Amino acid sequence: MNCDDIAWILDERRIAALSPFEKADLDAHLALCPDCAAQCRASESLASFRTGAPPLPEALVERAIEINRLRSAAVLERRARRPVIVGSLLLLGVAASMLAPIPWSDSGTAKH
Amino acid sequence: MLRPQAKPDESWLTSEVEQIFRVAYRLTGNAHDAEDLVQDVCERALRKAPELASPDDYRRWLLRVLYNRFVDGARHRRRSPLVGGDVDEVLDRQTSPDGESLAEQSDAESALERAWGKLEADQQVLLLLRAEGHDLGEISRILDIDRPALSCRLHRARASLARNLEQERSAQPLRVVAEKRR
Repeated sequence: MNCDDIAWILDERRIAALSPFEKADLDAHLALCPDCAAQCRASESLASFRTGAPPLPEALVERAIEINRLRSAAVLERRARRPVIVGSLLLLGVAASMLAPIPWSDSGTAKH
Repeated sequence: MLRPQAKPDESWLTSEVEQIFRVAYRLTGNAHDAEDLVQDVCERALRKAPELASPDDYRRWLLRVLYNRFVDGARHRRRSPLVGGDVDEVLDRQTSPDGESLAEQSDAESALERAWGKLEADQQVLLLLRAEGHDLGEISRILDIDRPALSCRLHRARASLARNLEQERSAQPLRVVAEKRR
């Protein structure tokens, strides 16, 4: 076994699942290669790392659903309001143009 | 069981959320951050989940969103020191499931936590996926990274963890003496 074989095992398999023959081969390499030995130790230490998760908080999905529902409702409300706002602005523009004097109407066409 | 072309409904999400929470807890190291992360993922899943062919695809998609959100959050904290704090401060906030502080954990666990805390977030993700039992092909599908690049990154992550662990183990006696003097 060489360093590439060890890297392959660490990528694809579990050391605990190796056959006795493979395990003996692995141990022989690790005894001579401190880098591989350190990587194997690091990988094995992660097997039980933070495995005891606390119970799932209650109603986590329900809360997400509720937040999503409120967000969708807010988006729909904004969309529903948009035509009213645009219409109001247009009306305001028309009204303003009717009330305001047209600056170029008195002067007529330019005299040459 | 296949659910062809069905968007994930609420019951589907409920059945997946326990596993996602467990993985989120392993990533973040505390229940509050894990809860925030999973809630964020659930909201995204309800809003944006694409149409996928099978429950396995949905699980992969959820895991990818979870890992991306975790890495984004870690990068954001790194850019804004006020949010994150230094490594020791963050590590001291972390507690084991039964509520004991890091200081009360065994030396080996504490060294592993500190070594883990020094890794980049994307390295943590790769190593955790591997520790969860996914092989290279599966990790490649979850993260959408090609196998040669993934193998290289995984090797670097493992080497970094091994190096950090050695440093922490050699620094442990010095830390104990310093704590006793306080």
